[in-house]
Amino acid sequence: MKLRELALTRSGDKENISNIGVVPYDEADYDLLREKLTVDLVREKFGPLVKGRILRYEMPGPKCLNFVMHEALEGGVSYSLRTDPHGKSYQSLMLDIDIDTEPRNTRISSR
Amino acid sequence: MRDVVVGAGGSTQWDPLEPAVELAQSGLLDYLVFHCLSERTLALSQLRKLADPDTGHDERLPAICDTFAPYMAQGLRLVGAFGVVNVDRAAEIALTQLRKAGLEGYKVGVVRGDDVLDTVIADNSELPTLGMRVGDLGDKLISAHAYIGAEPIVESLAAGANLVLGGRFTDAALYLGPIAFEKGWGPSDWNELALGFLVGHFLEGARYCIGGNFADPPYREVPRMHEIPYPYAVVGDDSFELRKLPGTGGLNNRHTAKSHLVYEIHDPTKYFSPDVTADISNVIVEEITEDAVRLSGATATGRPDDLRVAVGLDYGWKSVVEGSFGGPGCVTRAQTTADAIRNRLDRYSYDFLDTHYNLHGVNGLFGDQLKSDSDPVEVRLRVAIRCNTRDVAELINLECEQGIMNWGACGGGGRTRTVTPVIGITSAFLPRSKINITSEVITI
Repeated sequence: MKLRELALTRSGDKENISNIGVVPYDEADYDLLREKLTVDLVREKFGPLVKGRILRYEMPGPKCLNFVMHEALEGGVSYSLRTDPHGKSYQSLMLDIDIDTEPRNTRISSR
Repeated sequence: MRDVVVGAGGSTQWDPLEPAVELAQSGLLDYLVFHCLSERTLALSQLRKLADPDTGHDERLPAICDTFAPYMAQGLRLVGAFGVVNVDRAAEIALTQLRKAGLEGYKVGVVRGDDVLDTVIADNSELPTLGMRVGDLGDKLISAHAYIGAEPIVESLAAGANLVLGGRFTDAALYLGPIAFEKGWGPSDWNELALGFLVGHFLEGARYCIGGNFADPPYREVPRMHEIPYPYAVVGDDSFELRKLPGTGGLNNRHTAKSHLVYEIHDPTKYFSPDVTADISNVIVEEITEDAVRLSGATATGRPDDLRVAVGLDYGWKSVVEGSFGGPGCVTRAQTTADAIRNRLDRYSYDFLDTHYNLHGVNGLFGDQLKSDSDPVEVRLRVAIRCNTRDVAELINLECEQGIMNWGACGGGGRTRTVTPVIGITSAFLPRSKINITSEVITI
């Protein structure tokens, strides 16, 4: 099942570092994502787009994960030649990651 | 302690004022705060100032003074990074415009000292990301601005300022300053400062935290995206409510709030700012009403010893040329044209600093990381090249354009081309003792 079925994401930038926060629609899926949404999966999805290390942080209060990807923007906003130097679109690539779990109907509107 | 109400005036120098006016009109606010900067804005403003020393500030400032003077006359106070890279010019404008608007006797707080170019040169500061020192940059060094905190804003407000302006305040400090002042928080009231910092983390994003850049239909629907207002916060002593005005568009719920909580953070247990190193990993998000979310649970035990400095570097010139191809074989024709342009440029012996050939619709955003089984019906070729001098950038810009319109594959249309100077931003760190921040309060 695609991550898009389970979570929303938001990406931001600081210099040449891109972060992607992952917010499960249902807090009950936080533990599932902690288990399944690994740094290795993210590295595989982003491949050569991310040249540096990828770190994952857990936020037990709001039940979110945060991925911090170093050397991910070919220099950073101010001089990167990328079409999207901020990496704003990275959040959407993240949602294309396959999560190994039983398919279920999770198309949730947010309220 | 009474609640303090702070509102967002926008998140960039290019944001419209109308939603800020709506907030001012509501009469709910104690403070209206303008966050005008980003890494990129700072670089662009520095370029403007290099071309004309009377620029480099937020060019909306005269309009902001005119627009909000009537509300200031009723007690609203303004805080903003209006100076960007030219605080002195911004101060002159604010004084002149507010006097014209009839606010004689009112006070403007001017915060200086974030420009630390001389200091990083004298210090020969380390540039960890580049693995070199400031002295190694030679004539590539353009600017250095320290990310400064809320203390000079508190000082200015304490001295009666009705409008406080400066340059490279950290985004959140613009909000934390007035909150800390009104609440009487001291510089080591860590958990309180973390709360005020969190308010700033949200409001500095303006529309971003109440439904902007959020919709992903049908998973996430945002009502009336065209009428998303600017948010405001009602700040208590250990929590705050993030709100939008009743009847406005946008969305304010646990998901929008969490999506902004994680925006542009690194280690959530150590979110560095000049005022406080906050732990936001245990923040609690509660939905209160359709227009309000309550946030609490940010904590802190200290702040960093050193301040981050944004160092601006001359990174040469950038040529970008684009053109579209459509219909059967469009990907092949765009790719063939790209290859031909590459061959053409190889005829010169220029040492390009960086090159990027992309087909929008195929690999513009994610390289080869996402593949489609079918050809798109149209693609847009983009050739971006960074080089050392303007002359070379102009020349290759024309060559690339010729490739698309003239001697490349057939059917290339809708071409655009730009040549722009490039400033890179990298970080240095300076001890607080080497940065002399001053606040001067001037009576209009």
